[in-house]
Amino acid sequence: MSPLLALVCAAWAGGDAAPTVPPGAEAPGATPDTAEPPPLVAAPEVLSFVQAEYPPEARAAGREASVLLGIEIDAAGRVVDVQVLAPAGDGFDAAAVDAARRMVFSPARDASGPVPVVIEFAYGFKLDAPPPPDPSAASAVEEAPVTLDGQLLEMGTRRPLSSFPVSVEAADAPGEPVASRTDGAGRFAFRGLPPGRWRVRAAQPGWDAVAQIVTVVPGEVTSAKLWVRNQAYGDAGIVGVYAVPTADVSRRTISMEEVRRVPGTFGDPVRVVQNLPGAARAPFGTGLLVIRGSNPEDSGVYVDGIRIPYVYHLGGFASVINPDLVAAVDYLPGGFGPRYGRSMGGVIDVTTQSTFPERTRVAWNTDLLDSGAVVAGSFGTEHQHGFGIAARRSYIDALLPVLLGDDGFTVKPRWYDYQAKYAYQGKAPWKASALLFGFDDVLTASSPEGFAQGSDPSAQGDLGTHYSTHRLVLDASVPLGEDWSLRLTPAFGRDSTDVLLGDQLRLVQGQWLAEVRAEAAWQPSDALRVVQGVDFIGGRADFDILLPFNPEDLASFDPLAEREPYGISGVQDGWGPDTYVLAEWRPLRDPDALLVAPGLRGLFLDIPGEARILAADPRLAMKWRTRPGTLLKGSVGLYHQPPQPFQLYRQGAMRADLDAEQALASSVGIEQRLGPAMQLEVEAFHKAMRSLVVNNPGFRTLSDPLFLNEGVGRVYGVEAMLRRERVGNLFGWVSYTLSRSERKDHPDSDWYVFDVDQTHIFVALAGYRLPYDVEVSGKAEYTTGNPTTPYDLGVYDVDQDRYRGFRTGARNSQRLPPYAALSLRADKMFTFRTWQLSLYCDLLNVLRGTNPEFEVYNYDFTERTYIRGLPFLPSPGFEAKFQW
Amino acid sequence: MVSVLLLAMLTGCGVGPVDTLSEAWRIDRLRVLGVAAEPAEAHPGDVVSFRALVVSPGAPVGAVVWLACLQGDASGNGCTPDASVFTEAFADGAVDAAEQQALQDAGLVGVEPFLAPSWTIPATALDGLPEDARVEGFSAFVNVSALPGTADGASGAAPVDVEAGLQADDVELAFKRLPISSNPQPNRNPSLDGIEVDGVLVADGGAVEVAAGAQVELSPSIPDDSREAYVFRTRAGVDEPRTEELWVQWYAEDGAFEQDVSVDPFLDRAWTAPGSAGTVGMWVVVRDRRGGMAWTSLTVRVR
Repeated sequence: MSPLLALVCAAWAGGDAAPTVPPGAEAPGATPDTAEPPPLVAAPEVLSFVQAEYPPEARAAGREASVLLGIEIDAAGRVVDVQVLAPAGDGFDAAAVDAARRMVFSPARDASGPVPVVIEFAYGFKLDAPPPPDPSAASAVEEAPVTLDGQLLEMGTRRPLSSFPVSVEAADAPGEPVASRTDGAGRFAFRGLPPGRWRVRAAQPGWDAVAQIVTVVPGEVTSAKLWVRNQAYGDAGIVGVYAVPTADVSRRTISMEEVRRVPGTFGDPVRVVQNLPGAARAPFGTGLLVIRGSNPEDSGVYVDGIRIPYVYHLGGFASVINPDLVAAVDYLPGGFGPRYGRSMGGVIDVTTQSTFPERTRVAWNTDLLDSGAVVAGSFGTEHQHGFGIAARRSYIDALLPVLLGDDGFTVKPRWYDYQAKYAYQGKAPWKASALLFGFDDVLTASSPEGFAQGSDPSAQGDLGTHYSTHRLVLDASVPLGEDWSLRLTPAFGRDSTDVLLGDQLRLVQGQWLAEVRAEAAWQPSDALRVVQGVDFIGGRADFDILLPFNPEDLASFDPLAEREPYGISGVQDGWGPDTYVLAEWRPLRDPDALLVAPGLRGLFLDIPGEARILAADPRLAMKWRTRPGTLLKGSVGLYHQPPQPFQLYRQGAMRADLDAEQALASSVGIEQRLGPAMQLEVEAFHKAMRSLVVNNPGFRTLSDPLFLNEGVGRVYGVEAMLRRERVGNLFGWVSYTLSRSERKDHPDSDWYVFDVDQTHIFVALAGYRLPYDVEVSGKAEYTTGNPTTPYDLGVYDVDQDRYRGFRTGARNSQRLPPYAALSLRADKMFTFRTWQLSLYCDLLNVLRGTNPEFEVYNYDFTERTYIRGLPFLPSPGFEAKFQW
Repeated sequence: MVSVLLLAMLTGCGVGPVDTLSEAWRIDRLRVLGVAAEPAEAHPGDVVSFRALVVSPGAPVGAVVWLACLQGDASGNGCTPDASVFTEAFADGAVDAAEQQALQDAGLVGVEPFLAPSWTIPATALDGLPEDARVEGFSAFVNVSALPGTADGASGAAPVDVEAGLQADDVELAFKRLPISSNPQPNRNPSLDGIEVDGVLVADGGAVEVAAGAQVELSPSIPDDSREAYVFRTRAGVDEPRTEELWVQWYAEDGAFEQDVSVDPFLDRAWTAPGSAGTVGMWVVVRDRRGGMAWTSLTVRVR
């Protein structure tokens, strides 16, 4: 639906108030002598129209009017300010402003993504407005009885199409057609048509024309229902990948259909992160998040602002949140502000849907790995209560025995996830939502009786891993007067991870967590916004560990020595409020011209008896629009993160006494618009890390600490991204990262290249929409191979029957061959009257490149080869959507 | 990940090694497969003798050089003697008495076939340990270096022909730990009577006929008393009765094993003979995980 039509159709809501002037869009604050407004590729559309209260005095006086408003809409589509540009008086102005403040729009977009805009909006008040449709037929038949009526619905979605041109003409003697338009409910009517056969026709650009022959019978009303096929389903939801205008200089937001069709993502917007600058290519099937050369555990994963331990299910092929409930994915490779803490790497923040459709929608998705379903809809007065429920389960565990037969070996990978969300989407100024979600992954492997799992008798038995997370997240925000707003987000849940190997090795740990984020925002003017908040995180960890040996024996490990199983279990509490404050200062008249965002985050973590960690992270981000289309940006800041929980535990009265790991990160970059749909972003970054937690080489007995804060690291590089937004049928981007990540574990040891360092990371992808709802897309990747350590002919350890290779070079001094792959994807959507079916197929690595992922040696280290990575893998699937 | 890898393989596009690597069980070069000490667990002052299972298909073994040392003279890969002692001793081609003593001091305990390996455990070996730790003891190290010989050697072992261009990679290096303790019931080597091939016992060095391509069941014939019962004293001072768990490593020159390792109580393994006639050497090594070791060999005539 075009913006114009959206506004026009809003005119008849309630029948007595209407905007009468199509919107014009301009950048807020833009003036003729300073800047030309950036070209919009999409104007805002009315998503939620609010009917104004008709002023009683004016109604009594029989007055009608039109109020011209200037509505400022932020990048999220929210109305942030309404000004009366042309008043009408008599209470019309206040009524129009009040209604407009509660309206919701889709965001305006330019080439950089969603942007704030100011639109002109004429809010009309009419008494006794003629009931739609507007019978634009000849006035001669205006008072005649209705002889033909009907409704126009969008195929596949059942959505009533409003303000849609409909015409009739005699089927047997074509002449001048009689034209009309549908009303807000998609209904149309014609009066006084003579009996006979009539051709009803609905046509509008962007839609397939549809016609139906009906027979008008004297004395009766003939009804017809027309189904019209949209030529571009889903366009309204396309957003893409953008650098959204926040104080986080490197933030990119991913959402919607466009990116779900990127090859290799299995329809999962979260996986698109791995195609963006700064993200190293994860080895096939691992799903590791290596962002700007950081350890995977250094990056934080959030769902609606609440941190979770994993973002992917087993194997890294599906994220733990059903894509159909994902509204956006924020990807922050670095330089993020103080609202995020306890991470030295990057941040991935998954935002779930907060607005749900009026009509109940059911979607079913099946692919090679799993199947899932989503039900979303709304209820209550004016659909003010929205909900979405989703669940998904893999079925490989059921499939594998059928495919592989019963040879005694069983591998049972299984995962499921669920989400249930409620959101208040009414007109009240406050907002509230509740999200219950969780996931559960299991991988068990067993072998037939007698099969040796290696030669160690204590290593025999079945393998089992299990991890799960469950969370309840509540979210409420309320404005407090003109300048203040408050948001409260409590969350409760449990994480657990179990690893079992036979009856000799058991690692079971879990934690109950309570988190509360309280955030207050103060915005006294357009030039200043201050956000302050507290993140309280408290919990109790429980663990039960059984090892086949005593850790003290590791220092002088003797495979012939008698082993004494070592068990430990207990509970451990930890708590700590982190605090943060962020100021967004826009000192120039054009608020987008300069943004200075200083912030401070405090880290406090107390684990009674083990460690107390205090740290302060000052951070500063700046954005400066030097001229239209050119934005310079930079950031510098400290980032602390506490050690991993298992590193913060020591037995008995001994304290872990580890400190936080620290990174000083900085970046500088430029965003340059290269046309209405093209943008180039280049960013250089540097990160110096210290106090990294490393193994204690001097560990001999349990009285020695296992870990020390003496590692250092450095990461530096340049990222570039050239992006073309979908304008017309084409979209795509080219992403390139040149980087180096190094570590030094101990003061007297050498620097070495980080294990997942990739010098060059290149991704080029594009999608093209063809007629008949067919879309094809492709992705080309090239990355430097991961570092490896060379070995040569080893010495034979007779007692363990294994060779020990001699290292012939420094750690990570060689590399695997580069990785190169081409992947393709095709989507085809079939639209039926009441449902839609999408078929898709991912073809991964169509060139069948070797793509080594890991290096392996033969038994005596005289031969070397690679484990082949991404295979040629066709991955078909389908999605069916039904609407009521 | 396993699941996806399996799925990938099912779709006809394997995730796996790019090239096939040689397998440990296939004997196609000079190898040390086992080293046994007698006694398997020594007391200070004991004289320990050693023997090694050294195989070299199609070529003679030149020499086997033995070194022994206590922990202080070892790394994780066995003894680390002063290499200059060896360089100087063999510099002029002859070893005089002083050099011989220097070699012994450096840990040389045998050069087969000229000097049978034997080592007298220093009487003070346990002196540094607390009294209660001496029963458990510690592990000394024994290094074994097997050198290939030439085909024109004298009877018995062939001499090492260094002039023929012996490379470092030609030498097979191995090491073994030797438990030294005051344990009143020291560990003994397990014993192995032979291999049962489809239920028929074949004694050490014996031969059996198998049809080409046929699969046979192999079972190590281990006397009942090979699995020793012993007592382990935990850190808490609790005496814990334990019984040895044996594991078996299988080697052959050809054919294919169902799996080349087996662990108590499932020690049997299937072996498939090669598809063409010939003679295949097979070796089986049993370990008790406490340093004890035994082995047997047989010849399979594939008809």
